[in-house]
Amino acid sequence: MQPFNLPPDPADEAADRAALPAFLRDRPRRSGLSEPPADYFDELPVRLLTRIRTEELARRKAAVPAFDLSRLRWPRLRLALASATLSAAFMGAFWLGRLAPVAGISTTVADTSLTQISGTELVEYLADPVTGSLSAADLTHLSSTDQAADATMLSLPSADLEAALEELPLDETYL
Amino acid sequence: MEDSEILALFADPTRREAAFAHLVRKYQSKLYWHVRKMVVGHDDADDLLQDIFLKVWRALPNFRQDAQLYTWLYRIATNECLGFLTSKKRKFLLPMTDSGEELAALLEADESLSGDAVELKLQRAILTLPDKQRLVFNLRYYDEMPYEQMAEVTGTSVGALKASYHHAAKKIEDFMTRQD
Repeated sequence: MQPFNLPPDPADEAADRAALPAFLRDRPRRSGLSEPPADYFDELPVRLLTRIRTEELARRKAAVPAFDLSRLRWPRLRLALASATLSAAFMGAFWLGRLAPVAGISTTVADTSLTQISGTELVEYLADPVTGSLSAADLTHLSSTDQAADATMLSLPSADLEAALEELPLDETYL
Repeated sequence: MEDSEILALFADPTRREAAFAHLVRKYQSKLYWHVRKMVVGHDDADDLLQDIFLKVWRALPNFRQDAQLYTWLYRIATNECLGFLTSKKRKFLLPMTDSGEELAALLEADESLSGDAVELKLQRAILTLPDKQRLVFNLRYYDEMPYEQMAEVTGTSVGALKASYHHAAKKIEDFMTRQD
């Protein structure tokens, strides 16, 4: 059986034959590779149909939704239900968004603790000359930081930094 | 059974499987050897042929009869073969232009070729061709497919296919004489 719907072109055949090496021209045109197992072609259709049935069954099982709107007969009801579902989803998301804290701005332990102290107590604490003023101990962490960090971070020549500092007014209260 | 009869039978959902079995029986041998010549090993050819027929099963309801069924099947098989060879090369980081030594090793292991030194050498020569050129050579030399139909299968112009085939024949001749 010749499966091609077009007849062979004699001109093409002559040109191709001329292009072939002499030893290929009259050789039987078979690849010489070993034959497949004896029953291969008898069994293949059955194997394929078995595989198709198995895959389709698995696909159907996986594809069955709990509630399928497309099964509803009336288009308007289908549309109304779809709209209502979508609206409910938006409202739910909005409502839950209001209740839940926004990510990254969560309430800290310190904030929670401060809410438990009354305003009066806080004012009294800050007004107290002993507890409300800064002591040298409160500033100890400043001296422990890397004093050269700014210069490193700015990555400017030290001469430029000194010139810029010279221009600033010197206020003795900061000394 | 004619292609038109198979397609008509397939259109009936209750007889779809019977139609598909007819189609497989009719074309399995041709497609198997088309695939086998590209991937050499039987196991790879079997896997690919099953994948090809599964694609045919899924796509056949959308098959437009402006193309011949046989050409359409060949096109699917060809694309699958080239995709398989490309993915294999990516997997093993092989050059994209040749099929590497892996296919040659499969040739060497083929019992049918072990006793025929000339045939083995010819198959090795064909394996030195880039995949697409090898495909063109196989379709024209072994399957004797008309160039117009090859153009439909490969999506390449007839002129380019003729040039590719003649180059392939020259490369094979060079390989055979050089190796002697």
